[in-house]
Amino acid sequence: MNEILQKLVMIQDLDCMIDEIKNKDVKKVQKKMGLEIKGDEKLEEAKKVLEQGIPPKVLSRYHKLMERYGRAVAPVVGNSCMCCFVTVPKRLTVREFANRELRNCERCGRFLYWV
Amino acid sequence: MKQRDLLSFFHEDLFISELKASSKDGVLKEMASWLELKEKVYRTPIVYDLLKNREKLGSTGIGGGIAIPHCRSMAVEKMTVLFAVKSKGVDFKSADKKLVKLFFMVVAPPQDVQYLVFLGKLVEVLTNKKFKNMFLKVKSFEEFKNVISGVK
Repeated sequence: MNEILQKLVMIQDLDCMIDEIKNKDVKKVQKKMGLEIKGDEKLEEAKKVLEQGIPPKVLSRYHKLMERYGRAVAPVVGNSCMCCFVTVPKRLTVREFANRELRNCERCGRFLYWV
Repeated sequence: MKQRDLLSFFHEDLFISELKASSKDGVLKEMASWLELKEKVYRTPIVYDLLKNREKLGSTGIGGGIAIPHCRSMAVEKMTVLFAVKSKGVDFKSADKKLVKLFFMVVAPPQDVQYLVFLGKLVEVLTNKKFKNMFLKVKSFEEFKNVISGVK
């Protein structure tokens, strides 16, 4: 798998976790589970470390996509971008091959990640 | 969410009868690797790193020898639940300081709407006083299924 793509997926997962721990419903469930969540700055730190390994142009595009859509990396399932549902080229149906390079959806521009 | 709905998320191939790892990170890595082995996750490090980051915010050990490491990740296509046993127990830094013997790893895609409901229901079932000890004695997936089916 492309190293930069892997980092982008990890950053987006972290962004999702950061959003989630600020969510009241999540806090309620976690409290019900008897769990306490402290120190979300640790997630920001982990994100920064990952961001260091990404070329500035790619990172800038990631942030722009996040601002625009709230999600910069789109999973590809069943040959479709799961964010805008456009069909991706047929030659990219093999996951290992498709994830080898950083690719963007032809329609929405998000980075594509074959799940 | 009903009892039988909860059971539908558990599968025999997503059950580890005895974990090899004996440390917290080791357990997370072994379980994340299992998910890749069973083709539920594409690339173990994505989920493993995320679970480790989640643990930094506080242990997911809910006490009584049970832990529910969980996260949302794009690396899974749908909500995936892996159940594992470590009979000797592992120090998972739970609030009650008890060694954890049962692990329920829950990984859901970001858009999954059942994730929180499932977590809530799972905790409700696992902390059921009547059945708690029965869960801790579980050795096989069949036994687990029987116990969870009996919880009302």
